[in-house]
Amino acid sequence: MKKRLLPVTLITALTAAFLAGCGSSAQQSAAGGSTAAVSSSATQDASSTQAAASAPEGEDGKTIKIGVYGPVTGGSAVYGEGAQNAIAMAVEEINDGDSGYKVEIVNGGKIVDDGGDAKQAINAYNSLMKEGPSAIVGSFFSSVTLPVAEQASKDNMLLLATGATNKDVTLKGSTIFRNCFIDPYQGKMAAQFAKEKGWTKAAVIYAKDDDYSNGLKDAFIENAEANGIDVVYVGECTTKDTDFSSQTSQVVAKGADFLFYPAFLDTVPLLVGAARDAGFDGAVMGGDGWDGTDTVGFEDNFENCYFTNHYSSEDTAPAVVNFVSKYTDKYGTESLNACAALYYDAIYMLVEAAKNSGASDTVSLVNGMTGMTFTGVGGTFTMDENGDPEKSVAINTFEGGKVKWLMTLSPEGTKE
Amino acid sequence: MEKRFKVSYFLNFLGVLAVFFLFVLLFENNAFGRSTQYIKGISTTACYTIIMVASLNLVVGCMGEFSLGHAGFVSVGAYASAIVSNGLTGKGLPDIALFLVALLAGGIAAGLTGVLVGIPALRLRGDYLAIVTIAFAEIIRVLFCNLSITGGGKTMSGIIKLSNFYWSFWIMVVCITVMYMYVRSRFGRTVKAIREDYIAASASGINVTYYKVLTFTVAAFFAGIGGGVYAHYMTAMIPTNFNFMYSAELLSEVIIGGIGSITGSIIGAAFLSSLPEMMRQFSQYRMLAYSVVLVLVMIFKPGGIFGAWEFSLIRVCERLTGRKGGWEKNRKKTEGGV
Amino acid sequence: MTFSLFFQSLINGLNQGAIYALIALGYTMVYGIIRMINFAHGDFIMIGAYTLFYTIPMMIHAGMPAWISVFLAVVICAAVGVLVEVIAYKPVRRAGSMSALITALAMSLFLENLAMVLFGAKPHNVQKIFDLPSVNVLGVALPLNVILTIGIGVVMMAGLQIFIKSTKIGKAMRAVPQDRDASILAGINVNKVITMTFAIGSALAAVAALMYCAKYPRVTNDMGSMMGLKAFIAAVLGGIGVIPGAMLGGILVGLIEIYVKLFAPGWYEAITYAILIMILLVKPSGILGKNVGEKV
Repeated sequence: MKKRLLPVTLITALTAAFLAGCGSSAQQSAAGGSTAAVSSSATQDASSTQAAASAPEGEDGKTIKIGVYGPVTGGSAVYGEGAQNAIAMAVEEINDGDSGYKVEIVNGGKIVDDGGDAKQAINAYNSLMKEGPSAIVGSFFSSVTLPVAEQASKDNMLLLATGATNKDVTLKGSTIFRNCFIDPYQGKMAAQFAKEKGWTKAAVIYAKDDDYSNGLKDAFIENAEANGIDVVYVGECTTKDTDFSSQTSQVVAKGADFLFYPAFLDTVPLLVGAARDAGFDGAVMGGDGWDGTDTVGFEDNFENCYFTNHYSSEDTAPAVVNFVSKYTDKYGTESLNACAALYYDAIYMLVEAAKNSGASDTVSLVNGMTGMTFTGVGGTFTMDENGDPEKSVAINTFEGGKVKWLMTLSPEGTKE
Repeated sequence: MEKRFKVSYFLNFLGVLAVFFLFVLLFENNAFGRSTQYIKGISTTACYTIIMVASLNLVVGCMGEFSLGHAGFVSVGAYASAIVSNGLTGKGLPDIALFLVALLAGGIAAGLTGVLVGIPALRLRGDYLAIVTIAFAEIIRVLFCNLSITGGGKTMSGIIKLSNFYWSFWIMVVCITVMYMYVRSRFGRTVKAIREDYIAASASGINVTYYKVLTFTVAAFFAGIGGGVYAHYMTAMIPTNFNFMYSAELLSEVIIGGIGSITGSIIGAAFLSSLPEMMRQFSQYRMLAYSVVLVLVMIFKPGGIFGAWEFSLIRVCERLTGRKGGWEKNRKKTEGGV
Repeated sequence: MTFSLFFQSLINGLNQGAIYALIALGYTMVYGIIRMINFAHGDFIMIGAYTLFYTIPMMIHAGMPAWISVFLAVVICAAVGVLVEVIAYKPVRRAGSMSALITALAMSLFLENLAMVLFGAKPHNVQKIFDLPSVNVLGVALPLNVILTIGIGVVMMAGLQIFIKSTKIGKAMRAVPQDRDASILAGINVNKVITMTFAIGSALAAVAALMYCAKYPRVTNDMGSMMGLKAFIAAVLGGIGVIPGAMLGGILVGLIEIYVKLFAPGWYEAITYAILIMILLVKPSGILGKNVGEKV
């Protein structure tokens, strides 16, 4: 009898815990909602706060309920941290301001974690949906955002992707938008930069098992050839690789003067180090995935390196200066990155969409965002028919290991 | 089939039906309010995880060997079923038929892979088999990274979302039933004999290789079906999703649930796949907790929490109706339900 | 393909192979004595690497050369190895090889996730350890790091062989895997021997970490798992349990990887694993190993 008792007790305990978990998560959402309403009420009249707390989907038409998700844990946690801080900042500014609209971030003002992993993405999306938001913001990675976009389109929910650059994301439906440029665009800009700098022989090393890397590499090669640059070598690697000696030796052997490496920040120091060790002195360039690269200890290697980004923290435009200084005052510079800037802009874009359409429910926001022109940290841009913005690209370089803004290329190709 | 089996199957079917209607009741009446889609999503996740974990338990529990490459079979099933459903869509098939055809295709593809992997791999045992299964799973992953039909390393998206909870539930029930029947059949008993003492078994004239490869293939088949359900739920996937970590997670769930116990796999998988959602604040510590629990289980209860114990509805009914000798006069009660 | 590319790849392959060889030494030593695949070996290296990451700046600050920090890493790795052995492996030693394997896997996961929780998931750069120049040989850049790595590997291998063959403890270490019960009867403290083996194996892991960080100056919490697997392939190829086999296997795997990358870069991992499968099927004892029949 004793032997049976243990498993039976365990089953009962597990089932109870499971059911309790469902129950508590349902309760948590209610509690989270009201806390968010309380925290976002800085200086406003009680009536609108009460209305926001009890009414679903901003019944009073003046409160925009937003669900946010992003990579809070995992290898890119620094992006998630930046995003969390940025949206907290944005919410505070908007609710203190006089735009006529208030913003409420569901889930207690916290970003729901997707772990940078597609498997968790749908669950993150569902857990946000149960709070009844009018719009969802996120995420930074395309592989995470694609499944969510598919589902959001089915649910006719507005999804504003912040950093997912794969071009298929916005093609999932008319309610899907993004506020960053797309992979083909970055690749094109990189090729243009190379042409302007006068490099003629390009080599590419890309990560075969990553959407982002593939997208940029395809676009770069296409545009490089159109620009008269000779692509002498295309090398493959994977996102988990640490040894690049074979690929970099071939780059040198083929006599390239420009190396394009569109991958993420964690392998960049290794590749650049390997390239320099192999004797490559030419320029090395990457995409926005280079943002946040740790150059400590290897500053010399990063001379003559560049990358495209959504914005540069040194840009002198007033919107950028404002954002950078406020963020640095509150949170320092460790997590100040493009991801933070994109999430910040996203919140403001939703407010702008509400202003355009006059209401804060999903349908109105979608109407307001279609074809919208917006000015923010990422510059001034207009949403095209797919829901993609036509944005300028900032080109950054490194000086003594620190990121420095070099120039900004706009879609027409002029320098600013 | 003997009468006692018929009665027990019928009773179990009623039990499953009851559970299903409970779910239907809860979901259709919006018992969870706005959380309904959320809970449905978690439950669907639990369904396909259960299929995957139970199939791995066939190898680990019934056959007593290690497979650390199960994610490879899952991925074969996932990609095969996605390719088939993408290819057959719009040809006028009703959704349910499309889903079933796709799943079968995934299962068969995975089963074939199981044969191909099993024949060379199962000559080895113990540690070496474990490493070889990792190697095969990685080869499968690299293969998918390089083929353009699976997206060539990029995310394959746009898979039709056919996995709703009700269908997934019944597919899971069917899979579990077949697996259970396999374990109880003479195939299962033969494989258990091999597990206990393979030299004695082969000396008794059993074709050890045949039965091992057969079990491995059946396990791969069901892993493929689980993968198909996964693919049509996520609608997008990338080969790196099916890496060694995923295999290790599946194996941990088998062990924590109970080696050789299908009940353990069901409850373990259901619980452990909903755990990340319940513990969102602690998601960082999730794998840490898994590994600690795993070590503790190995030290204190090496057979897993449920061991080889199986839940039996008949036993519960017998208990309730107070019949000490059981309903069938000649029925022998043995532990583990063999 | 030009001659210089061929030669450069040879150098690259030797470089990578030497590092695999160092890692495989620890692996093969533990397996040879305890007959258990220590899945967590790669994670011991990860711990060594993190230790180096934190102590190298301290050393440089104190004006000492960076590589002195390896001594501290050795101590810490050995301590961690012994701790893991005593807490996790000893209780399941008698329970069969499946339990041991699962426990090893669990410890590997535990160490990786512990590191993630303690140090964060973002990779960190390790500072330059050796500032050795690259010598120009036949028109190809030969980093002296390679020679150093191979040299250290050879020294360690020789040292281990002498230790195992000549000292009393070494003899005890050879006796335990042959017949554990007879060893106990002969008066050998098996527990002590096993603990000592782990300590030495983990210490070797720390040295491997040093040379690894010299070439690939980045630490991240999941660097251990794939590294461990590749090293296992190297050890098996050369003959698991045979110490010179680890060196041979490591260098072979490194060369094969680099040359395959030249021709079919998307497939090099698959080729490496395929070689493992081939070896295990054809000659499981490896190139230098002896075939020990299975006792009924």
